[in-house]
Amino acid sequence: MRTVIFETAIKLLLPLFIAFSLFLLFRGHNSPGGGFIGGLLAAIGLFLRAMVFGTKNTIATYKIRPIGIIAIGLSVALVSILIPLFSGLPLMTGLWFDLTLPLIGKLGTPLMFDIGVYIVVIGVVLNITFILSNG
Amino acid sequence: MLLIILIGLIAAAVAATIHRIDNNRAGIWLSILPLGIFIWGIAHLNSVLLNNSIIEVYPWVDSICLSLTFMLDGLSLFFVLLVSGVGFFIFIYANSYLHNDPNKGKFLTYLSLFMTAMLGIVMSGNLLILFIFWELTSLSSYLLIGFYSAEEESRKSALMAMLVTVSGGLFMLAGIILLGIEAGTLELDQLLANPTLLLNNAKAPIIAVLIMIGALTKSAQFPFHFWLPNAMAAPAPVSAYLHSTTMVKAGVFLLARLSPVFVNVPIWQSVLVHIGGITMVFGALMALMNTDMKKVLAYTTISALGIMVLLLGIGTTISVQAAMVFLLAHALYKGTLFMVTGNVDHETGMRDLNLLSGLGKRMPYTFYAGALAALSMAGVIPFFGFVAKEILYGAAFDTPLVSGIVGVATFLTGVMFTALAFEFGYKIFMGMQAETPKHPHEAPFGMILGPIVLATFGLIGGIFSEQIAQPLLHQSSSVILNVDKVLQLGLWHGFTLIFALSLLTLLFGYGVFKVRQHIRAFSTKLSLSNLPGPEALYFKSIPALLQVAIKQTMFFQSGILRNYLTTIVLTLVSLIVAISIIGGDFSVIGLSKTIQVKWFEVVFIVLMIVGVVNTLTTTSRLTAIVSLGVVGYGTAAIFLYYGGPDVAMTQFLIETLTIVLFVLVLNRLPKFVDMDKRLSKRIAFPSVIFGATMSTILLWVLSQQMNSPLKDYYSQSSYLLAKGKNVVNVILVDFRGIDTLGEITVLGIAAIGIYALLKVKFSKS
Repeated sequence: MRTVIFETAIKLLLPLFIAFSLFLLFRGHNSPGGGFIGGLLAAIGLFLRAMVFGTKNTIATYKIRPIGIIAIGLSVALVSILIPLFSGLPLMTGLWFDLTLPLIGKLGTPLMFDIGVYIVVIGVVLNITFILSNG
Repeated sequence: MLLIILIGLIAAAVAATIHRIDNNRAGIWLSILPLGIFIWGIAHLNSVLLNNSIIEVYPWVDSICLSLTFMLDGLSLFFVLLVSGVGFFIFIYANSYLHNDPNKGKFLTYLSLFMTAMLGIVMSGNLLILFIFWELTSLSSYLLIGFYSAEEESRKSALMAMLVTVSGGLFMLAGIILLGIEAGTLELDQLLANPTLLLNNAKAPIIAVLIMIGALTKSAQFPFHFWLPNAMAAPAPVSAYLHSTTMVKAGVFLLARLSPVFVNVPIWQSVLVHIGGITMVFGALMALMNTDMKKVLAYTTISALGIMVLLLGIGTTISVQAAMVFLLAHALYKGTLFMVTGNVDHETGMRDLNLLSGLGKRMPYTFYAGALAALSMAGVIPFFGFVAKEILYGAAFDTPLVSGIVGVATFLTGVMFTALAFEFGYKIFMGMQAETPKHPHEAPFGMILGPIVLATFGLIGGIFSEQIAQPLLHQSSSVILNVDKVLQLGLWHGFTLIFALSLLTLLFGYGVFKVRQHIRAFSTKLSLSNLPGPEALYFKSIPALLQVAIKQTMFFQSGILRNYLTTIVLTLVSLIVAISIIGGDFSVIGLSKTIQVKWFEVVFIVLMIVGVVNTLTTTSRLTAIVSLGVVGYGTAAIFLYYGGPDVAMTQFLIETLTIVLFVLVLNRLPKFVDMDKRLSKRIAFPSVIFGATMSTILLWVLSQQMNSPLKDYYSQSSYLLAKGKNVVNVILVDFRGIDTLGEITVLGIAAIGIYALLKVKFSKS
């Protein structure tokens, strides 16, 4: 489906998709949103790009396959739950920094965990859609 | 002691690397490990002999009585010295035996793992830890027995050994857990300190039986014996190690270890005496019937293990002491004989007792070791085997109740052992040299060192039994039983009945040796070996099990989506119906609250109904998909209205994705045809019933007063404890984070599965 209109549109839309999905991810702790929803949105955006430019092109551009994305996401989540162990606290204790960043909000291990969820969801959705569309 | 286990595991991990660096001497380097452990054991000998057991505790999971406890008392130390001492020679032997094998590194890894697991068993101070090491020996022995994995026989035998011992291990685990519940602890020192713990417990016999099944399968007792003769598919060093001090001795060790706990449970004693007695005679008979050297030795091991189990079952002072003495004697001569067999097999290419003869001139050192070991096996004065035989007869004829039967059975077993000893120590080495596939010459140094040292030790240990073996063996039997007499070992106890019996054993043994061919011919005529036994049962049950698995998989996994859905829905509905019959109060159902219906809700619901009807009646797949999408978006809108923005947002996204997915696969799906009437009726039934049930449940739930403290708890503590105002998200990533972790892991695994399935399917078409 390589048409000029689509290509131009998706080039403009994809950054918006990603930005909005990140926005949903970071606001999740206090308002509606979160890693799962954000991940779904980002995945839909990336998939639209793949539909226009082809999956091979997309994988080549980002230099990572969906399975690899899943692995990264799971590792991020895993590391986030292991961090408290180094402070002598039980697994998965939520640790927060006192630092508050604009737009992102407070930083802490639950947020890192949510980022892991975000990445896994992107990986899973892209994994399935890429194979189906590739054939 | 934890350190020893860790070093052992590290050695297993680096064994292959050592092999890559120093191809020829990898086994020698690794033999430093058992040597070091042996020296460590000797260093602790004095304090253990003074009855000071060493205990190391690393607390772990208190709630299931699990802690990393290690214990070194007389019994443990005895086994540690045996396992590491024999292990040292096994490593050196294996180094030469697998001289040019490219897989030697792999082998050494397995062997280190196996030895470490065995050391773990004997040093465990907690029964759960013991169980873990127990299963680790099963696992590593599987790898060792199946080492020649290119041969089907090897793989089959390895699988058999593992299935038999592991299924026994499962019984044992059940027994251990039950013991933990009843006794309140799985720490061995506490269990051993309170021998009356299970005295009047109604579950004690069950626990005893479960644990015995574990020990008896591991120790290859009748009727679980059949895996051991098959395990001879393993390379010779493995057989030598497995039969002499590890694996099969683990069962005996466990019985000895737990004797104080179960000694007052009547069934413990009677089972052990019967099984042990039967195995003892049966094993010796089977050994006599066979001519393959490895098979013969395997059956004598079974028989010898039967003797030990019998002695532990008798449970008198002298019998427990005899068990320990015999265990040592057996370890020394059996390890030697297996290595001798390995040498003969290695050098001549055959191991048939009938055909081999006159090897003595060509293989003088192997002959020396084989002859010494055979003399010890036969119980000739002054070998350690003689000392063991004396005390063994003493124990057998001192048995309360059935001393006559036990005594005679032991004597017969002794006679058969002696006859076989003549074959191993005399027949194959003397006389005319027989034709063999390979031209025999002496085995390399590494392969004669072990047999010679172990066999010589059998001689020295006999002459100086009082000085060398007595203290530790006494200490280890005192751990098993509160012995009332100090163990006295020696060669000369005067002209007693027992001494006369020893002499008679030799005489009769020689007689049996002379007529052995007639006995074998006779048994062939009776075709005893073709009788259906537990082995045949094993070979029948494995395919049967697979058949059941296939049948039930075919039944449940029909591959048709609507069947899965029907199963799930009907199960759910019947469960709900069952529960509501038991405890449901449906009198309150009804639209008790007057519901204010807004106009846009009506619009959504009408849209959804239209969508449903359209989906069911359309003849175009695309229309069906879009109509379903309408239903989904309608649901999402209602979520949004009722204050579930997170759920609504997810629903919107999922609906979008579903449609995208459908569009992708649309041209791959088969033609969308109208279902025929019968099929649609069959699907209509579960659908309608499911809808009705869910509606009823919803109405019921709405009419209940909801007083869950959980809701208040979450909304209150969400910000205080987890610093988040969005309760849904806080639950997902914090309060119930471990669930989410599980879910994303499952998602990842599912994605890999989908990847594999679709890739295969598409690349085919």
